[in-house]
Amino acid sequence: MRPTEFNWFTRNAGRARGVIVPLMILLLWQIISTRGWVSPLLLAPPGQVVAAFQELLKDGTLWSNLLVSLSRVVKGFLLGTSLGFAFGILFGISKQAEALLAPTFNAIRQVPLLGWMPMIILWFGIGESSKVVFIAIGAFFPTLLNTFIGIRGVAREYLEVGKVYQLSRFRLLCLVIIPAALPSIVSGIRLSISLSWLLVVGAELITANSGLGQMMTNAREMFRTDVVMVGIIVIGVIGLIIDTTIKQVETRLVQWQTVK
Amino acid sequence: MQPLRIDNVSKTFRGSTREVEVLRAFELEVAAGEFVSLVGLSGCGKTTLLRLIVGLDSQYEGSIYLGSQRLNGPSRKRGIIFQEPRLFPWLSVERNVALALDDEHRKHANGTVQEHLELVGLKGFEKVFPTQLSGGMAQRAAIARALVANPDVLLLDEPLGALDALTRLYMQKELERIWEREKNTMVMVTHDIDEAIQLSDRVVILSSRPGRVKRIIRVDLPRPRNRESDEFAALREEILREFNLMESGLACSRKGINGEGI
Repeated sequence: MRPTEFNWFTRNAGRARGVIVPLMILLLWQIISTRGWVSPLLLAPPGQVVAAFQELLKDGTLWSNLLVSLSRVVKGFLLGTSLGFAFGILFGISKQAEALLAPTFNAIRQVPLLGWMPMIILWFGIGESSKVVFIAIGAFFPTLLNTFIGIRGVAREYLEVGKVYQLSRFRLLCLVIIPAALPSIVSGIRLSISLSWLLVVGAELITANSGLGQMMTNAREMFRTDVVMVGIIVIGVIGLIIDTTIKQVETRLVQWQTVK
Repeated sequence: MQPLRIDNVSKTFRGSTREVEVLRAFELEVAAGEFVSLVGLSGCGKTTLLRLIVGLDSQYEGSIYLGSQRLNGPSRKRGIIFQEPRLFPWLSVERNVALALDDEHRKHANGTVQEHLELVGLKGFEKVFPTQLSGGMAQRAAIARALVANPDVLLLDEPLGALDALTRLYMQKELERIWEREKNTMVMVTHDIDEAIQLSDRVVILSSRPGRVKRIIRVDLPRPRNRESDEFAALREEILREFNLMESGLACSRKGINGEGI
């Protein structure tokens, strides 16, 4: 497990290789713009995008919209994932609950998320709650499914130890079942977070008066291609940061699994 | 402490396509504080018998008694050590051991847990996680966990089977020392005949499927026993002879012997 010098080198070389393609895209983008192959209305030149980014930073538009989007993500994710966790545990430990509710949940899951949008707007209006509910529905299922799968996959050997030592249902759940299912639960939560971030932008593109998605819709209507592109890059980078952070938390949490 | 009595126990596994009779009319009485080993070829129901005694499986005919009480389901009066340590990797050694205590005892568990970790030679490893332990140490922790609630009966399902030869010899001595101190009733399944003779007051030889008591051999040698002695060798030969005369035939039992390390 100890990183040797060789390991260190290859690992960082690998990381550096990941930057090659973005740099080439940047180069190509610059060439296309300077040669004038594509109208700047369709593809803003890199310099203009950077300028737009600085402008948005300076007047605070980017920050305020980003914060609005992030707060929707956090609310929707927490709501959806905690419900998903609760139902995942319920289905995992109770075959009756699974038999009673799982088919319904499965049917609901078959409706594409965007298909919920009209209903959500009817019920919750176009205010904050509709976005939060939309994200929550999306975040609900990955956590639910992975929690359920994790719990059903707990080794029989562990459950037998719990039975031999007569652990109460509550202690069995907290000391044995949830820790054993944790790797699966955490990867479900990771999927939920990533999905929440994707959905907030989607929701804001459809209906919103603030947020990154709305900023981009506005910019599109005013042919500010540079602002749209700033939006795309910011969304991508934030998504990447979220995913990398969760991955690290995941490795930390389930360390006992990888260290054999 | 009370004797353990297995009274006319039969067990059949019923699958969707076929039935397997594992135990038939099994009878055995183990005195309080006695060390008994069960030996027999693979699939003769030894492990199943331990699972019935500890209460992991209650689908069987006949009765098992501890003293005058008919057993039904698990109890802290009966502990079990599996072939694998089965420690929870997300709990420290200390918490793994404390897991076996009931709510009442857990409140002032520190002393008891400490004492049992000392008994198995794991003093100083309280805060360590199971993945950091060697196989032998992990099995010691499992022994501490099985003993911490002071069970009357300790069931051992090939407890040393997964250890290397040297650790195994050492752990046999340790088991004997622990048993002499704790004075629990021990019922051990093993494939190692020397181990059975070394540790047991009686060695129970099981016949193959369905498992029944084929023969019981009393080991009347003073402890600690010397494996090089003539008496030890004579007992070993006597037990081995039982296996060679198994109804399933010489070839089959030889295969079992090589495969199982008997």
